[in-house]
Amino acid sequence: MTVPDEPVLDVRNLSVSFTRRSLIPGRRRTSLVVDDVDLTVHKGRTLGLVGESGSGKSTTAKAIVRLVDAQAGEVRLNGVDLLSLRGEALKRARRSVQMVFQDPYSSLDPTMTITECIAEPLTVHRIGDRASRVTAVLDLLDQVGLPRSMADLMPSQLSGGQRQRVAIARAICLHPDLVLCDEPVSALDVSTQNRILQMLTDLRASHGISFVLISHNLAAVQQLADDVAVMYCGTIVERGPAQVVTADPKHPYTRALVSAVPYPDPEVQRTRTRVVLTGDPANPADRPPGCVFQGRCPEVMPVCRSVVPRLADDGTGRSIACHLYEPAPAPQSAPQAQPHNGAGPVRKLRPDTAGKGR
Amino acid sequence: MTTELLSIDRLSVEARVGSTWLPVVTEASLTVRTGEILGLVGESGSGKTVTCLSILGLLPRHDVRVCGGAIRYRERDLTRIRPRELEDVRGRSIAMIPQEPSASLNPAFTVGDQLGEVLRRHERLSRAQARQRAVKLLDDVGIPAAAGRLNDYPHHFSGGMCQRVLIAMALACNPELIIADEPTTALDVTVQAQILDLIRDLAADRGASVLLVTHDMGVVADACDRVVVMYAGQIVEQADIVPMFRRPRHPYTERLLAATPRMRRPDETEAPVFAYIPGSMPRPGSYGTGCRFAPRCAHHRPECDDHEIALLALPEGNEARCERVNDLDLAGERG
Repeated sequence: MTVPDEPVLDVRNLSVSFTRRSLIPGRRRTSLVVDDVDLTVHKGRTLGLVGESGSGKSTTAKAIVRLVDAQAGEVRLNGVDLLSLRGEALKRARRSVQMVFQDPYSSLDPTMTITECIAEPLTVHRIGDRASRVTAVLDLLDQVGLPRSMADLMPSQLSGGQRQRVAIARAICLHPDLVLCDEPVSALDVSTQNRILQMLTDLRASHGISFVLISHNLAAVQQLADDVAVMYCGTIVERGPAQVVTADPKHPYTRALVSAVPYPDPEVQRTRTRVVLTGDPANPADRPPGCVFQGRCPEVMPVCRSVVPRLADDGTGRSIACHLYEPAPAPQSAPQAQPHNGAGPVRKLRPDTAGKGR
Repeated sequence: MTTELLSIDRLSVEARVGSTWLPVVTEASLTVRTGEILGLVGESGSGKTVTCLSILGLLPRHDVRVCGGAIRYRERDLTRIRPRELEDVRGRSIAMIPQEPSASLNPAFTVGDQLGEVLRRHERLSRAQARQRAVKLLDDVGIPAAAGRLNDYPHHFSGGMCQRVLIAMALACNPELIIADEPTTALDVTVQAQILDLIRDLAADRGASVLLVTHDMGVVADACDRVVVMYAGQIVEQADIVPMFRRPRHPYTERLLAATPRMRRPDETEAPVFAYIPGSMPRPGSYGTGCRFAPRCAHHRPECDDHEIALLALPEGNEARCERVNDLDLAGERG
């Protein structure tokens, strides 16, 4: 990996926990939702943050832009720690980091026109006058491929894909260095998802914007991301160059995520080997000792029940937090890195049924 | 194996906008065969859900109405039978798995109550019997410690678990047909895989047919035996699963396939292409005289706009609604 200069975003040891009062007086329940997360995004690059709902990916993003408070860690944006800023300094720093939310039906104010929606950041940061803001909005509409005639419409008159483009126009209007996109396409039809992803690619090339792309669907992420970080129950379990991680996933959870994306070809799909996870994701309020994935892991070993695996580099720029890949301190915990059609609970999916029912 | 279970014959549905009625489904015909999983595919607004709701007589009464055609099930026309008779069919012989699992359960009642209600209405079971059966059903759909969960409320369950409860409700009376309307769209991919496996296995065990509505060709590839593609209220293609993926016969099907996100295969090194369908689906009431897909079609010719395009039966058993069906050779998946 070539590492160009200082990263745009450098997150170190970020932890977020939520505390809820229990029904029993005086007692509190604390959930560690993001646990000691490190992330780095370089200029003009895209980091895909992947995991199931509840894995802490959205909370990580919100902690980065300080929509939720972090308990510990550093979030360096162009070298400045956002978590230490307050007041006017924070407001100024926030210009360079913007967010696009999942649901374009609820992220735009229904009472504002499209122009008002897109220009709101300019108003908030007191940039330009009325006339220059309108010009800026028209220019932004061009950039996201919407007709200028939409400027005076209301969000309710737009389709989901169009609204998401408005949300993106709003996010880039302050020329940010970093845009965090939280599931930007999962609420959209398949036919328009790629159009949004293509647009993000173009913006990255034309504006040099760095992206953090959050999704539960690895197929959407791999198209755009240079690097991928896979989260489970608040921790990063695997991280590395997107091509390496998606083509040859190592952590059992990443393997399950990759194999869960159906391939749009019946004959390929029905002869694939699939890792089907049982049960629900781990509950951050009730984290087990040892590996967070132990409850659903098809390859769980005794050591996983007690020792937390550390994220370790495997020499190819990829890091994995899994005892399967640790360089064997004890003799019994040293299996070879298994290919994903290996033995064990991995099963062949319904061979020979592709032609049934006819 | 190929007996017809339900057959929709030239169904037309219209919806009221202000004081005018606009067509939302136009002469759609499809057949669900015994024991098969039939996929119904299209973008939002193509008429998939309206078609399903018409089968069950669940269209919003004052705003959407069936205005032509028939839905034949067991020598009866479901569009014409009395509401009381339809109630006996609905939930018992034909059941539905809705799209939004967490929004489809009543938050004020326990899961046991809601599951028991189906059994008590259709099978006339007592409360105690219904509870017993409910435990068995929850167990069948893979909910751990089922007996202990009957008194839980829907908010105690995750999205995937709610969907299992709804599947249990759909299966309660051993229906012959299960209509699953985007059953996995709101779920994570990992849970989607579990739920699709579950629907497929349970349907096979009980010999039920499934009408699976989705916009995701990946889901179709995973689960279906046959596919019906809808666009702007019309059926544009009908085919067996493998032929449709190998050689789609309608440009819309071909574009939908190309737009479906997929994992890069190990032998693929080049960056994936971002395929999408330009433009958007015409709104009801703004359909032209000719092909409804024409404005978005890369293969459009002037003759496509001249006249209503018929759904043409092709020699290999497919059907496609395309003027140029015989001179286009569209790319499918390479297998």
